[in-house]
Amino acid sequence: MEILAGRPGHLARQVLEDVGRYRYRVFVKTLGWDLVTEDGLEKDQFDRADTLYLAARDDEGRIVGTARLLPTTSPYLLGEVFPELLGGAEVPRDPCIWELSRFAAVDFNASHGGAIRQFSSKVAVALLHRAIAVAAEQGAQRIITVSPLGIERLLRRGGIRAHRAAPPKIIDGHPIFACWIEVETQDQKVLQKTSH
Amino acid sequence: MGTISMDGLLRLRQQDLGKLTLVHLISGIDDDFADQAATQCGASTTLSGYTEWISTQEPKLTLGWDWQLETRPASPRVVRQGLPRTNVLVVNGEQNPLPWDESLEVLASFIDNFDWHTPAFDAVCKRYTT
Repeated sequence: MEILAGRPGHLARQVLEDVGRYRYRVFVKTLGWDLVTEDGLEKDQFDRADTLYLAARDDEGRIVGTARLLPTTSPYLLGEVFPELLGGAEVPRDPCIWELSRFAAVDFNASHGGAIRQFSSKVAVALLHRAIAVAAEQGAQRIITVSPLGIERLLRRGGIRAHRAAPPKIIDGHPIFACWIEVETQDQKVLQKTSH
Repeated sequence: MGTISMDGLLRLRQQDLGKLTLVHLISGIDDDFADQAATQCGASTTLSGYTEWISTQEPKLTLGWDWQLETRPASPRVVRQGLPRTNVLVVNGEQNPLPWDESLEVLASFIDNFDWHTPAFDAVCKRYTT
């Protein structure tokens, strides 16, 4: 598996298109989220020229995970769409705080049985570590993310220190919450191992 | 009661935990079991899931944890599995925060001393049988 990271213009157009199709498959077709799609690609107003993308690919070059990083000094998902998840706290606008969104690590090509889920553990943990490392390279000291509750177990399993920003809200029948990830308190050895 | 710091954590003294009133927000079973229940007759009866609680007072506290069903013949019940997930950091009498894992252990003890089992179990039964 490899994990690519970069902005549009630095990542190959095909990679970005594959990410868009993968996001459509995960978030729209599998999870049933009501999102804007076009030509089988999932894309929203936060997919911009300054958006940082991560794409995990298997040995065949197929996307098996994705994530998106945005600076909180520009419009971002939590700030624009889900500010209530901060429980009344001010929406962060800080160059040291980045947002992680559209995180998924589903391997549609895996042969194991059972239902498809948003987080395949091994890929998800690797992708999380890499996302944190990439954010740190951009100067992030903290990451905020809007996620379903399942990501907390994943963070803990990956040895990543995180805590809730406020109580979760039930959105479309699912509990969603804002989660803080402290970049600076992560194991520096982990960051060094995943940052390249 | 309690103050929210710049890091978003609600600092709370251990002795104030007992004064909290928590209300049940939602409980559910893990996705894998939800699917098995719908498709596999005779599947394992060991269920696991999550439960979420919030405080009634401001600033709002959130506590969530995993549970597993103990299938005792007369009275099945849910028991806590692992440490909770939260926005709370427990502080000692001198207002110094406990180490994170120690704080979670204190919260876990608090959880084990109030009857969350009944509302969580009832909520799960209601949610997945209607």
